[in-house]
Amino acid sequence: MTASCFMFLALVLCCSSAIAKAVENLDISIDTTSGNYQILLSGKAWFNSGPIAVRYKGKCLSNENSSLSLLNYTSFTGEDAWGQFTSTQIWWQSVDKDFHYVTYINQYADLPILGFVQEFWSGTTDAATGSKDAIISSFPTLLVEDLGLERAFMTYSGGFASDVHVHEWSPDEDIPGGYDGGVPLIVFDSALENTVVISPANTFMSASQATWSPESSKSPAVGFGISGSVNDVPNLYVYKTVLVAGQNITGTMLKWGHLLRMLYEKEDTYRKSDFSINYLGYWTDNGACYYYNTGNYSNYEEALTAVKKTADEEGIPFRYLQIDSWWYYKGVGNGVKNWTAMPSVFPNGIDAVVEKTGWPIMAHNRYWSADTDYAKQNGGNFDFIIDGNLALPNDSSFWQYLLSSSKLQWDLFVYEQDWLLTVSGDFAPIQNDLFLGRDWLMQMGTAAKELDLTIQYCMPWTRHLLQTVEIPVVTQVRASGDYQPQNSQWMIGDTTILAHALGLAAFKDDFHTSENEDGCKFTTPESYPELETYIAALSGGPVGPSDTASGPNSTLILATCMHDGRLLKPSHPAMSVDSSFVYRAFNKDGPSGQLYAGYTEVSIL
Amino acid sequence: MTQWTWYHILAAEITDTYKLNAAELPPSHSVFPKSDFPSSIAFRNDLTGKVIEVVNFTSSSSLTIEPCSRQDFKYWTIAPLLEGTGMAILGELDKVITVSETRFKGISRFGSGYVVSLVGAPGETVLITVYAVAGTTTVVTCRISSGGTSILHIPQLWCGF
Repeated sequence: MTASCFMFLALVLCCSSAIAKAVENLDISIDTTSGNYQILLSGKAWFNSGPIAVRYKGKCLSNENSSLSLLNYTSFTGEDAWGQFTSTQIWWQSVDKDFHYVTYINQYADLPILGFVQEFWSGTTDAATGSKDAIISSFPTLLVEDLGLERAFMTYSGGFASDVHVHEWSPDEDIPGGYDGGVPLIVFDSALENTVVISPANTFMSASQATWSPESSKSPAVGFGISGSVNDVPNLYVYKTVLVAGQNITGTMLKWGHLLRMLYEKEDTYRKSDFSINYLGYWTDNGACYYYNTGNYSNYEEALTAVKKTADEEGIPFRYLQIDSWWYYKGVGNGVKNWTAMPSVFPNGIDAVVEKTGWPIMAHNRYWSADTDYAKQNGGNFDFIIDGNLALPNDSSFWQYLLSSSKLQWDLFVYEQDWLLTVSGDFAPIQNDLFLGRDWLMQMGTAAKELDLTIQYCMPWTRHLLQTVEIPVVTQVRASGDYQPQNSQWMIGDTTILAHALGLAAFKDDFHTSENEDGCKFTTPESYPELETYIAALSGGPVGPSDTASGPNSTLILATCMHDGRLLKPSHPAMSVDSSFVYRAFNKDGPSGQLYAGYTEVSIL
Repeated sequence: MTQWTWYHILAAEITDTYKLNAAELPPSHSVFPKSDFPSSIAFRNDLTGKVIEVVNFTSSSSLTIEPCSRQDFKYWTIAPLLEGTGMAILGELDKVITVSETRFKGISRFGSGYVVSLVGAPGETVLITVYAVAGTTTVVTCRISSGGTSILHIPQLWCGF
C-alpha cells in the first residue's frame, strides 16, 4: 500500500460513524472482521452473503481462499440523491499486495435501499473470463439457500426482456443471468409482504448477474458485477449495485425504477410530450401488411398515399408514419450501408410522402454494416469501429449529421434503434470494453436530444433498458417480439412492469384490425383483432395499426383515440397482477393466465 | 383525495375461475385498495355501447374472472360512485379506455352535483354513459366546442360548453 493510501485510511478512521437502523422492512447486519453480511426483511434473514471475488491478471482472487484478505474497515456517513446513508467500507488486498479493492455497503437513513459498491482502487487487467455470461467481480454475492421462507424469484431475459422466469427461490433452481438478462433480479415471498429488487446502479451496458459455486458453501450463489468479457477496469473505477425493498412486486419495481431515474435525474417530460405516444400512427414493420410489400401498388409512395386516402374517407386519424427496414440500403451481413431512401422504394424521396400525407416520420434503423458508407475506413467522414460484418459509430458528430439531415430533409421525429441485442451480442469490442456500449447509446441520445427527437429501443436486452435511465429522450421500448397474425406477442403484462418502472412507454408492436386483407404480406388472418386493439390501448404506449389501404376496421381503430388521433390512454398502463407471479411460482393463489390491471385518474378540480 | 380513479382489467387465456379481490388492484394516488376501496360499479360493455354486466364493487368485493380465451377475453372497468348522486360515469363505451385522462380533464363539485371537464377535437361528438344505482344508464351527448372543450353536468345529465 502506498503512503498516500495509508494516510487516506488514517484520515477516514477519525471520522465519526453512525449506527444505521432498519428502514421499513429492510435491515442488514455486517461483520466487519470478515466482511460477511446478512440481509433481513421484516426481521427475518433473507440472504446470507457469499464470498467476494474479483479477477486480476488472469486469476480469481477471493476472500474464501485468502487470495484476497481484509486489510481494514471503516464507517462513515454520506449523502447522495437518495439521501443520507451510513457506509461500511472494507479494504481488500491481494497476497502480493499488488491489487487493492474496496467494497462499500451503504445503508440509507430514510429509504429501504442498500447500495453495494465495488471500487477498483488499483484497477484490474487481464480480467476477462472468456465468457461474456460470467462476471469478473462479485459483490454483493448472495447465497441461494432455503432459509425456511416461502420465496420465489422473477427475472427478465432474452430479446425484448420477454423471457420472464418465475420460480421458487431454491438452490435447486437455475437463476438466469449473463449477458442477455438476469437483472433486475426480484425476490418475493408468497404472501407478497416482502420483495427486493436488485440491479446494477451504473455501468449498465457492462454489468451482469451470474450464478456461481463458492468453494466455501454448499449453496450456489448469485453475484453482481462487471461482465465476464471485460478485460480492463481503470483504477478508482466504481461499480454499483442497488437493492430496493418493498412489499409487493409491482410496487417495489416501480419504487426501484423511480429511484434509479431519480439518481440520473431522468424526468418524464420527453415521454409525456412524445407525439408518437400521444397520437395514432400507421406502422409498416414486421407483421404489417406493407412490410417489404406494397400489395396492389407499384411502390411505397403509392401504397402509403392510398392508406392516407382511405383513412381520410373512413375518418381514421393517423397522425404519423413509421417506415421500417425496407427503405434503406443494406450492406454486408444485411446491415445498414447507407441510411437514405432507395429510389425503387420511394421514387420521389420520403419527403414526397410526407408532403402528400402530412405525416411526420418515425424511422427504423438496424446495425451498421462493415462496409457502411459513413465510416472513414470506407471513404466516409466519421469514426467507426469495424469488427467482422458489423460496424459501430464512435463519433458524436456522426449522430448529429445523421439525425439532423434526416429531420431537415424528411421530417424525422422519432428514431427507432432496432437490433440492439445483435450489436451487443455479436460485436466483440462492445463486450470487451467497459465503456463502449454506454458511449454508443449516450452519443446517439445526446444528438437526438439536441435535435428534439425521441428514440424507441427495439430488440433490447435488459441492459439496454437499464441504460435508458441516463438518456432522457429514450421514451419507449418494444415490450415483446414481432407481431405476426395470431401469435402471442400481445402478452406484454410482465414486460410493461419493467418498462413503466424505467419511465418508458411499452409498445406492443403493430397489429391488424381486420381478419382478411387483400394485398397483405401476411395471409394468415388475424382472428383476434379486438384483443390486439385492447392490448395496444391499455399499454399506454404507441398504437400502430398496420392494415392494407382497404383493410382497416375503423370501429376498432377509433376505439383507441379521439377524432383528431389523440390516444385515449390510461394514467397507469395495464400490467400483470402480482398474484399471477405467485401462481407461476407456487401453483396457487393467483390467476391461471393473463390478468392485467391498470387505471385512469381524473383530477378533482 | 385529489383524484377519482377508474380501473381497467383485462383477462384472457384464463383456464380456471379466479376471484380478483379489490386488494389486489394497484394503488393510485388516491385509492389504496389494500386498506380501503371506494364504493364503485364494475361493468363490462361492448364497443356498440351496450352494457353487458354490472356489479357493485367495494373493498370487500371480488371480481369473478371466468375461464376465457383470446376470442372471448373479458374486460372490466371499475367506476367510482360520485358521492351524493348515486351515479357513476361509465364513460365512452365505444372506446377501450372509457374514461381516459386524455378526455376527462377534471371533476369539480358544483352544488349538490358535479361538473366534468372534457376535451376533444373541435366539433367532435362524445357519447358519455352515466349509470344510476337504480340500475339505469343514460347516454349523454356532448359536443366539443371550437375551443376543444365541453362540460358534463351531473346529476342533471346534460352537456354544455
